[in-house]
Amino acid sequence: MAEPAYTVASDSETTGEEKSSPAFPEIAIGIDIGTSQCSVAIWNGSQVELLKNTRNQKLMRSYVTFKDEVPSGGVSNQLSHEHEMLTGAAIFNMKRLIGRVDTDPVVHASKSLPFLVQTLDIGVRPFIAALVNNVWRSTTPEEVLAIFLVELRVMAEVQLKRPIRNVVLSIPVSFSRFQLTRIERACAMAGLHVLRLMPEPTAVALLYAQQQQQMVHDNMGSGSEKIALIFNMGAGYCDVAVTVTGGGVSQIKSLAGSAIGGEDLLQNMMRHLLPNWEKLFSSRGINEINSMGLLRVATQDAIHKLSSQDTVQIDVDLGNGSRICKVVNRQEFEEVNNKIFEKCGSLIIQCLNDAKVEADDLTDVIVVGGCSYIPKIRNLVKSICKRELYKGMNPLEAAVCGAALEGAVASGISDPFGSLDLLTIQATPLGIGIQANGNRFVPIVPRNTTMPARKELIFTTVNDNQTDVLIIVYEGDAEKAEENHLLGYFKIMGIPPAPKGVPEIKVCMDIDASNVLRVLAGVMLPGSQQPVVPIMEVRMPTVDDGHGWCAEALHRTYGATLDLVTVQQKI
Amino acid sequence: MYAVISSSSSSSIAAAPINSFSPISRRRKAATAISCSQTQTASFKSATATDYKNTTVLPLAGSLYEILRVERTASLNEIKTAYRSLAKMHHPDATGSSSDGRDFIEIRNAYTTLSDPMARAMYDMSLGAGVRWVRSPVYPSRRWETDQCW
Repeated sequence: MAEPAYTVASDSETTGEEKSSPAFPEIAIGIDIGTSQCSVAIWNGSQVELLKNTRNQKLMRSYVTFKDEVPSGGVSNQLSHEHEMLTGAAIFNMKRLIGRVDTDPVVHASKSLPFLVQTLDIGVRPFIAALVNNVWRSTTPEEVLAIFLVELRVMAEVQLKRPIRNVVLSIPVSFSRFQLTRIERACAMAGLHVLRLMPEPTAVALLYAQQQQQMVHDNMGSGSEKIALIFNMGAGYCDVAVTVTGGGVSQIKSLAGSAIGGEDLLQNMMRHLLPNWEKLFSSRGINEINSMGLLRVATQDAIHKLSSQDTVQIDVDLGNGSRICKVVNRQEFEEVNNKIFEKCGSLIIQCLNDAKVEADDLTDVIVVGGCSYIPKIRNLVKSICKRELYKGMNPLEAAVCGAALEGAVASGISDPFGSLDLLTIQATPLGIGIQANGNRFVPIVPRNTTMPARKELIFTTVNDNQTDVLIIVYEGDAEKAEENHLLGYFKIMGIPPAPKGVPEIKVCMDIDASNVLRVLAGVMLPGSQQPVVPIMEVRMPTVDDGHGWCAEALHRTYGATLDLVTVQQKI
Repeated sequence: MYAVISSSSSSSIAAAPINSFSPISRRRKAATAISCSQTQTASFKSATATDYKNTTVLPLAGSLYEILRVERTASLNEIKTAYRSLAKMHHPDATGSSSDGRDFIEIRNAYTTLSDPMARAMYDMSLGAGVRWVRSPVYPSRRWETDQCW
């Protein structure tokens, strides 16, 4: 027998394991952690099944209360009333906060939530705390998420009567790789191993691929290729994907996403009802939090009603002497949120353009997520895509079902009826590149590149006899480097003295099967066949906190002395 | 402070990759065994970049058509079907695949060219002219399609 190999887990928190270990063929569960609700599903041997908690709920509220000694989340906890979630003791919307720095507008918008979100606006992690016995007890989004994931895990373990380790999580399209590491961190804290992180609409696309495959098997449909647009909008995020499906293979052609969702609709509506509410509640005393909670519940309720009726009567006593009594109609709601709906439309158009697909080419248009019940959203998608909406999916369960399918496929499970004969070919949701040509962002792996991928570009020095260059890696689509997500940085040193523009600095980016990004950089001089200094290979992201701060510090310390520029291909 | 090698342009974003660099670890793994029932088992390996230069004979060895296991006359539908079935075998996520993804990138690159009528026509011409086609960087719409590094 060969001696067992002992290996050290990678220092970066992203899990280094490639695929599932065949020695442990457990079926991974699918988890959809929504900003507002979450759910768990698993392939039960013949189909996907959603797991229920002890109160028979398939969809559980995503929050954790710090009321007692042991914090408890929405899986096990029973709220006596909705207001209980809004007393300051409960932390929620963590999916909007995780992996964001305190200069992020989404973090600033979260300051109106009924718990403490404090920012110093210097590009570090925001301070988050829950009010427990009149004490602000600090926590982090990762911790809150982990507490919640532990509850989900326990629930699944009790029902499936086996330990759960492997999971497939659905995540928003707009999440940066840094945010993904935070999600993986939370999972690790909960004792879970992330097998895959799937952008939500791609999970829906997999479910769609399975349904289409099923139709072919049942001789109900043709075996030809189908193009579908998937629009997924929940409380925190809006995501769009275009997928081409045939023979059980879902090829993601394009992805687009933004941190807009039901939470923004709600906040705009609260502002509409009580124009200076943010100011009124900024002191965050117990009474203010209570009033804010009452307004939140009443507004949310009104928005839900406006999906089925034209007008709604709002009558809420805020407990501080003021009372809001108002009739709101659907048109008002739509006007107040006009910018959000416009943004939704632009994401759909961008996604179609990126996929080089016309609305007429679409076979199906799928709208899922909590916001899919809003008439304005449905009409918007219908009018852009010139199609009626696909009816074969439960809008609140599609993403978790897709994640569970991927969990079964990724665990190597096969199905005698071919129901798991599926494959998702993913694309990069955001471009990845480096800072060059001044403060420009130069993508090396463009957005919507099929993964796995390996791409490279050549750069050169800007100064004569420049011996060092700084490689600063960003992810995003903005032209200015600093407007993208910083993933990490490193220096190449020891370039032999040469006039500017002569050394060729080759930067290669490799995204492997496990979605791990490696950046390789080497230096060539004209005439040499070998790199003149050892190649650097860096696994990204390397930043862990305070990224905004780091980029600024690098700029201040080095200026343009270690800069790079792109090189035109010599033809 | 801007330095550009080619005098022609300072438009920076449009820089293109080059196709050669010293071979350090082009393929971390040996080419995975191909379980397909068809005959051209060797085509996979010969499709990698290094082997383009090293193989000398067989006009079509390692051609994009061979990578996808289709005839030169294959229809677009046949090409798409071939791509999907190969993806199911060679994509690293596919059940039973032991690939590290390099094979799939080759398949993907072949598919990208052959599924685009313009690109396919250009490629066919280069084959016809007896020119060994090495994903020419001159070719406009395929600028990013290279997996070569070092």
